[in-house]
Amino acid sequence: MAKQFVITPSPHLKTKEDIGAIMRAVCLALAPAFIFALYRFGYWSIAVTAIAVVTAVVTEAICQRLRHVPYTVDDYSAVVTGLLLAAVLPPNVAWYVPFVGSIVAIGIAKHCFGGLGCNIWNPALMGRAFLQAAFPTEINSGTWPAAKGESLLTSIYTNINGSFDFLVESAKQVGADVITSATPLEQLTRVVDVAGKVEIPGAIYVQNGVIQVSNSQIFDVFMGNTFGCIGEISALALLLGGIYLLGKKIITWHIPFAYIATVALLGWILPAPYSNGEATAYTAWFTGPWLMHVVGGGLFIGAFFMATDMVTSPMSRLGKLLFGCGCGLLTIVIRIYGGYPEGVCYSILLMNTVVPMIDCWTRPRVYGTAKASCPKH
Amino acid sequence: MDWKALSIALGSMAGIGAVLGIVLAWGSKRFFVKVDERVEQVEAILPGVNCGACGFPGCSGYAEAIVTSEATMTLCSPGGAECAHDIARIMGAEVEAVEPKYALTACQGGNVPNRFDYSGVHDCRAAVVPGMGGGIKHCTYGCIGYGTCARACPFGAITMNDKQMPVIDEEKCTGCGRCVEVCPRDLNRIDRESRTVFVLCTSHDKGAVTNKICDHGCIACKKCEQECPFDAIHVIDNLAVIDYEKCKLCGKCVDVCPKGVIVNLRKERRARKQARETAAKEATT
Amino acid sequence: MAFLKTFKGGVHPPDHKQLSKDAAITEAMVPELLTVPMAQHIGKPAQPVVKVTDEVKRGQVIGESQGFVSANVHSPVSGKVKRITECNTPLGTKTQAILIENDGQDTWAEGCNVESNPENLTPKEIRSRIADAGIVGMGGATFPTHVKLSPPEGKTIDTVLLNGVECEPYLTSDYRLMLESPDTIVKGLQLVMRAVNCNNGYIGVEANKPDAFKIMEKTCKELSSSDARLAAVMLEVKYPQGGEKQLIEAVLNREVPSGRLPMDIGALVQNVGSSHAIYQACYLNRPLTERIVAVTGEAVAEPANLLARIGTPIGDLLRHCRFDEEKAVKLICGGPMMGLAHFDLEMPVNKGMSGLLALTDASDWDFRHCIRCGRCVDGCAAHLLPSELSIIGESGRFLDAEEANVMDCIECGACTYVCPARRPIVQWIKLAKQEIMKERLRKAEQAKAV
Repeated sequence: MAKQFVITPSPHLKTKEDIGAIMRAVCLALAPAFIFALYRFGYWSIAVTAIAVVTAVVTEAICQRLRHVPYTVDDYSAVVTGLLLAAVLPPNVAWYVPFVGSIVAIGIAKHCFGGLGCNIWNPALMGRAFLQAAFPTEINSGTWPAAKGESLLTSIYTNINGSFDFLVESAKQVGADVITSATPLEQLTRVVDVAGKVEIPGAIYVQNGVIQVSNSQIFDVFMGNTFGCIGEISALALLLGGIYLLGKKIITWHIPFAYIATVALLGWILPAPYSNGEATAYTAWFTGPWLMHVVGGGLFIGAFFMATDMVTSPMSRLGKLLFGCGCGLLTIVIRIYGGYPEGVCYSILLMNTVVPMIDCWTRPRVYGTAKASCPKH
Repeated sequence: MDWKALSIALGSMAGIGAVLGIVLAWGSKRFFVKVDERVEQVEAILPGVNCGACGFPGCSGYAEAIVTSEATMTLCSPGGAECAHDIARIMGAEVEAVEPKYALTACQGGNVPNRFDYSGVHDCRAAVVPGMGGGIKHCTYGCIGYGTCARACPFGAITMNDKQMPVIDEEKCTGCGRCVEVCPRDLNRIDRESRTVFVLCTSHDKGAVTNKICDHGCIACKKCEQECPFDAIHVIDNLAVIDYEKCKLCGKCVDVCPKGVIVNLRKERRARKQARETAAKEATT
Repeated sequence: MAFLKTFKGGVHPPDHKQLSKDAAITEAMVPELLTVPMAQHIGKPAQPVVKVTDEVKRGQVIGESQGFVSANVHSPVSGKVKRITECNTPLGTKTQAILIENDGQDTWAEGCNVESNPENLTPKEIRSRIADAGIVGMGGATFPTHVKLSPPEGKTIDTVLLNGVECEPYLTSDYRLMLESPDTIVKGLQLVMRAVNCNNGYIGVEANKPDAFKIMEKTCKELSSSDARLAAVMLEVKYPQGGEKQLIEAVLNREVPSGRLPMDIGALVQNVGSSHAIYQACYLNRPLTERIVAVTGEAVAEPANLLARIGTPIGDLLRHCRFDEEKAVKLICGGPMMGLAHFDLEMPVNKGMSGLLALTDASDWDFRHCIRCGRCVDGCAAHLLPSELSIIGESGRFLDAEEANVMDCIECGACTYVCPARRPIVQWIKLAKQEIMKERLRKAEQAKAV
């Protein structure tokens, strides 16, 4: 019998970068943020992450079993979903929160729509949105470990406002292990006009119709010396991961750039409401604390990891720019005027919804033809 | 309870409802399109699978054609005789009895060895795109075996067996012809029930070549040609071809074929026909 | 660094050219028995004009072109016609072929291999020389060259582009030809320019072949004149830079309208190999009976650029380069991006076979659902949405693909190369095109019947 060669369709070269490689790179890019979380919040944050990841992977396998489709857990996409979900949970949540969140994210947001590639919304964010509705107290408890690496609930120090170092110092003085405090963005939404009398070091307040944020406060937030969700707190660690993804060409610059730039621009331009003791007043135009909007909260994880999710973002470059701008606009509107201090989650979910439309508007002009049109189907 | 607010709400809802109702009522009268109700009746009789066997765009297209342009009433092969009869009743006409039609694959596989390995889209049509080798099997006339016909069949009548050959279930087959359209090797054909003798090979390879690679391939030995009392079967370009004008379905060629290429389906079909007729009788009594 | 000229889209596959790029062109052994296929070009196959047991000389016409879009086939050796039979061709089709027994004498037919000066040839004479010599596009497309050189009334060609890009990985035949025989290429270009009455000629070379660029630039400068301006253009390294439309876009910044030809926008593209063959036809009266084939790939121990006679079985060339039949998994004629896989070692070399690869990587197609990463959209040189086409193809709605401009696809394979879900997009596209053409044929027949 003569040797049998293999016939396959062209091309006969294929990139080494398959779905698994992409997802592994995303996991690696998230590593700095989680290492920082371990350092800042202690082992429980990593346990939360592990619960989220394991639940996500197991749910994926079960869903694929039920749907009679081949197992594809080896593509790491469920791992990424678990990691991203954990990243946007507070460090002190109970075990069932990441557990339920992962089941919803994978089981409902991903597999009910047909699995990887068919989901309309980012699964991790859908999980988070579900948790926000299902466990509002757990999600918004606002309690943080006081000492680095501590997480035992013994006594509580409560103060809404103030810089990180001030709060930790104060907690130590009263011998508390846990701090109840607002995240920087919560502080931003609750600003009051203190008429120049600053009692708490590092507090955010309004003076002469302008929100006052100190540079050291911003630097703290950027470095991660602040309160927030497991994977969100260190903008620096996330930036490192984002740069890694950009360098590896896993993501393009369009979405993060458009997103962050829009948030910065609108955060600077738009007047924010505050309380001047009697009624609600508005700060002046073009005076917003845009840097705080950029480094605070979940913007970096949203811009580099969530909005750039391939399945739920537009395909063309122009579409990606539009998508990023839309996310930025919604984020800042929710942050400044909405009921929630953080708008990243909902803005990305809302923009996910309009992705098919964006894809339709931004179809490339086919080579050799006058213009692109959106076909009927 | 705030009765005033409630009454405003109720009143405005009722008002809007009344206005819209009047507009709709007027619209349905004003823009009424007269449809021949027979179209709807005929469409209700048709099986609604939109297989295209009749040559019209879907079942509704065929129904309209029957009523408005007097298309032949017996074109629906999935519906068969019963369907044609019912349509004729609505149209107030008579139809001749329609004989059922079945699909048949003119290849039996025959353990043909492979020429190469293939990796790519598992669709017979993709395998014959130039440059894809034209199917992995040594015979370039026979079944490729990726089941395109099985996926195309709207009635689930075709399944692929463990040798990757299509098996047609005549209980389910309606003779719609979708499998004929999709087969890139043109192996499937539709024929009426009473025609039972077929040559199940399409290979024009020389006899020696076919003999080497296929257990059930026509080797152009001409035994059938010599045996036929009606001069109805001839080997043309290395392949036995039946001339159905002359063929009396005697089945002598079936017996002499050394490769089992020619088959006679009379027994199975007769049994099935009888079973069908008894079932029909029981249903009427 | 200055921005190099290029087109929009494209991908960067690893080029693997180091395997054979330093191997000088050598003559391949001429086998005892050659199989000369009659269809080595796009268009109607040639008709055999010799009979079994006829004596033939090298360069003698053995297959006559049928109609305008067709090409002559010549005997690559002197010898005897053994049989007229069928064979597989590198184009993926089966065709009639003439088997010629080589007598080892290599006697040229009368009038062939005689030096002549084409200075005084008229454009029409140049075209008929090219047509007589059976020259086709030697980059792989195998479109008859004389057809390209005969624009219909009212269309003028203002620029001739020579394609020395060779953007396909592994291939080095054009590169070696540019290094070793630059003046024949440029003289061939001048002939083409005279044949279509134009003054501008460019040679496009990718930036990863600086030595070839330098030598082409030098030769162009030497041979350039006021009424025939020649220049070499360095292009960005990107696949498919050597696509006809992409080369035009890069060098001239013009787009060929959908469904039209380069001649509609005054451009003409020729492969450097074709240009060399045109030189040989006009200066030496040698019809196209041999070509350079890059024999390379991981399963080939001694990669080489072989000057092989048309009709040599590919197995002979591979064995000449000591290929490991056990190790080889896949044989490819042409480059790895657009070339077709083959299984038949007896298949002959044809006029368009620029490369012959024996690869050890099976690359199965275990594909997943599209994850909408958009890499295919960025890479598509025709600016289509390959992801959408692949989904349409997977679901079998081939006629919807027509609406999604599938017919504008150049099948370069860039989308499939970058796809992280490993989707066989190009195969679906080819399938959709096939089904659309079938449907068009059916409709045309219906219209005729009515």
